[in-house]
Amino acid sequence: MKPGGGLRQAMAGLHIWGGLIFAWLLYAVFLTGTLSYFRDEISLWMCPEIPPVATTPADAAARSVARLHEIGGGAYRWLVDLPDERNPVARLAVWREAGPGPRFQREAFDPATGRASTARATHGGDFLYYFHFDLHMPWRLGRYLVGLAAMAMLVAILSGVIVHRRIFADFFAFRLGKGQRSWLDAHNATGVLALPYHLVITWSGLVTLMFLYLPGGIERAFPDDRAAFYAAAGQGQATPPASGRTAPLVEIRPLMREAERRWGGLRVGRIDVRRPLDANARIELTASDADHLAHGHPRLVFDGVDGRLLSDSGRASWVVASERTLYGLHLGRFADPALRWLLFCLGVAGTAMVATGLLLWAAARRRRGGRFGHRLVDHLNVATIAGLPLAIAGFFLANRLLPADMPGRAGWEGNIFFAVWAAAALHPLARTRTQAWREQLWAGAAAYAALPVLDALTTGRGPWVSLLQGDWVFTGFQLSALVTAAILAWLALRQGARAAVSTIPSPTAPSRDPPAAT
Amino acid sequence: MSLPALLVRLTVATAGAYLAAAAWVAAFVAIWPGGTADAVLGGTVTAFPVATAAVLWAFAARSAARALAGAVLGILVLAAIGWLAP
Repeated sequence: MKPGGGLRQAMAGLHIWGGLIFAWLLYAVFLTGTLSYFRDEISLWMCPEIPPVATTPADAAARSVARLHEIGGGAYRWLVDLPDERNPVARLAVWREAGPGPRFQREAFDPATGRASTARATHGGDFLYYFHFDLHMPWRLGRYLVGLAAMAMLVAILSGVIVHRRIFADFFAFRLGKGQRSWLDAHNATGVLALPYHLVITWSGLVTLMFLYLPGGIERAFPDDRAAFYAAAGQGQATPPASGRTAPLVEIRPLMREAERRWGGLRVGRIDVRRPLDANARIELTASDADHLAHGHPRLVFDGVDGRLLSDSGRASWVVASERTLYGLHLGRFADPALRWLLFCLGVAGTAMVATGLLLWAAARRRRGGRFGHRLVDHLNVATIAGLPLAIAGFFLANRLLPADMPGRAGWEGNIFFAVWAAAALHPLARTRTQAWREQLWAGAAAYAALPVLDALTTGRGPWVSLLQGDWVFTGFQLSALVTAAILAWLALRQGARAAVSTIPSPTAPSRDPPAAT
Repeated sequence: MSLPALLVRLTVATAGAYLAAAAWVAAFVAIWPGGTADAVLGGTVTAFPVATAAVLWAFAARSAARALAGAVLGILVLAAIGWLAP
């Protein structure tokens, strides 16, 4: 192969085929990951019983730890994610090795009332967040698949840059309504516009799970002692062995004051207690992610019985700080609302880049006839690009429509997500390509448009109420649902228009029929 | 591109890229002058660009034989540093 043209051709092949194999998975990862920027807000929307303006008492930490004394007997670890301006409830978690009680237990705790939140059971935004890198698959299979997809993404981005020689010249030429040419323009625009974002989000995403993919470094440098590595790398403490002697836990308030004094203005975001009520208890305080870029950093470890400071990660090396910053960049928890929306828009651009790449692949090969591979790609495109937003809408609808006291409710929300997606995957078998697109897009538009209506009917927090109350979580969700519905409806109408042009160019063409509800 | 050549390049781009990343981590940990945890973090974070470069190399090399030879050479050098460095 000659350099120059030969190289570009080789990179084009790599971009097109390497990209295609993982594109459906990448679309799902990008879309659910983008929604996860609003993980806390989605969780709040899915718990409408939590009032919009909750008061957070000054001693929320002490009340949360007191609550753990009630529910966390026999545990080896307690965790408190403290409330902040995005999240009015504390998230408590308890881990047990054996004995009575569940191994893992969570509770949304309202420190203002001192009781467990009475909100409906739901996984909330966590469902989409975990799907984003785990796919809810057993044996970490999802995490390996997502890692492979992320590597394919890095390769596709770099090979795409090599292929696309006039990367900035083409950028302002956007041709709408020209079929294949439009998909190419949209693919280039969304790719180039947010190129640094795509690179950083993909690389930092691999960094969040890097020791699952490449455990060799730890195994060589810290044989048989992963916990020592994580402690040295500023990623949390090891659980000390239990002494077997009980001892009361030290008062949390003085430790909080000490942490905030040392950090000069940073708040405590997380309290992590190992071996609570044992003589070997350790309490780790971590600074809130909301206040700074680096994830989970700095942190302090105290003796859990006498409150002595045992270690201070404030002296972390620049390497640790850099890695924590990449991690923090991926999560985006540092961002204030304006920056959060910008990150969200960049994530949407990434999702659109993957989707337009898939549509471009299909459009470029359509006139070559209906080979099985082409039909398969068309089928998967509908089921993923239109089907996944529909499944997410089903998840949100389930949250509003399932009875609040239904047993196993949180799990059923997830089951309905997968059931709707499965239906969207089968539906194109019975329809033509255009029909399948149009019907799934219309179904998605209807489902998203129904969400604000259901808010008004089932929660008493409909769009007008939330707008008048200045409730930006609900207002933001409702407006986003309506914008999503409008976009899906616009795409559905364009499907109809194109079908009319390419098949029967008459006013009575089937595309003008009222949309079929699915 | 013939099928055997394609298979060779695909092997370099998958197994070769993974081995290159793993050998890079080992070499980085072996020669990093600073702390051990820093070496593990720094080597693993930078292993992903190395793997990406290996995949691009697998298809950018002028022939499949060159792709394979380059990958084997790179992996051997990194592995030698990783396992033989003092």
